[in-house]
Amino acid sequence: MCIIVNLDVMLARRKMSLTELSEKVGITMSNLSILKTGKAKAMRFSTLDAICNVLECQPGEILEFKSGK
Amino acid sequence: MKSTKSPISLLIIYWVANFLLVGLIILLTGIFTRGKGPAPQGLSEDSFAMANSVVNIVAVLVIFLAFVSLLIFRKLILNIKGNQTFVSGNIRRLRILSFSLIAFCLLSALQKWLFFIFLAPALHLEMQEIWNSFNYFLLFLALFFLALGHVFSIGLKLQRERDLTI
Repeated sequence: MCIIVNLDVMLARRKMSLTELSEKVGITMSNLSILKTGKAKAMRFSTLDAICNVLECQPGEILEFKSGK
Repeated sequence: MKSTKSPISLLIIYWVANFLLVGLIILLTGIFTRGKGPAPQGLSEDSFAMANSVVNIVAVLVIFLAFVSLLIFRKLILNIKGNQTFVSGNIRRLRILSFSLIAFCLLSALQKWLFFIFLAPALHLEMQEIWNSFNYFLLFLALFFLALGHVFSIGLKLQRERDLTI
């Protein structure tokens, strides 16, 4: 898939662990792991909203499009 | 693992199917008694014995298929009871069940056909009776299971997609 999830980059910038994000957003660790590794097929707006809210960032900073990959 | 209570309708279907299939097996075992005794008029003892053995071999295959279908159906119902509906194993089971039912229909028709070919001239029976005794209901049931397998495969695809939606 051409959509890349840069969740780990954002977590490093905010110096936040995956467990902390999981607690604040209310998503299980396994689901966050699926999202981080790029295995997810789709993402709900509510999830994106919650993550952006906690990480104080824009959706474009989390999601990236790379053509031909 | 958390055990879930099954819907009562599934249990009823399971037990009715069990009784029907066991009854079918008991009925089919009656085939073995057919043709025993002295050979009918116009048929030698040897040909009568050969006809009997061929018909019986096919009958054994028919009973075996009925038994396999019963076991597969049982496993399928148990899986659905345990909330494992859209799994690849169930799709495989439905396909096997469907093909074994088709084979069951064809083999039971062959068994009747062989019976009439070998023994009809001696017993003065009409060939028309073969087509009257063909089990169209089971054939439609097999096609239904095949279609259900396809529906389950679509369900599995949708469930996988839902699982990967965060």
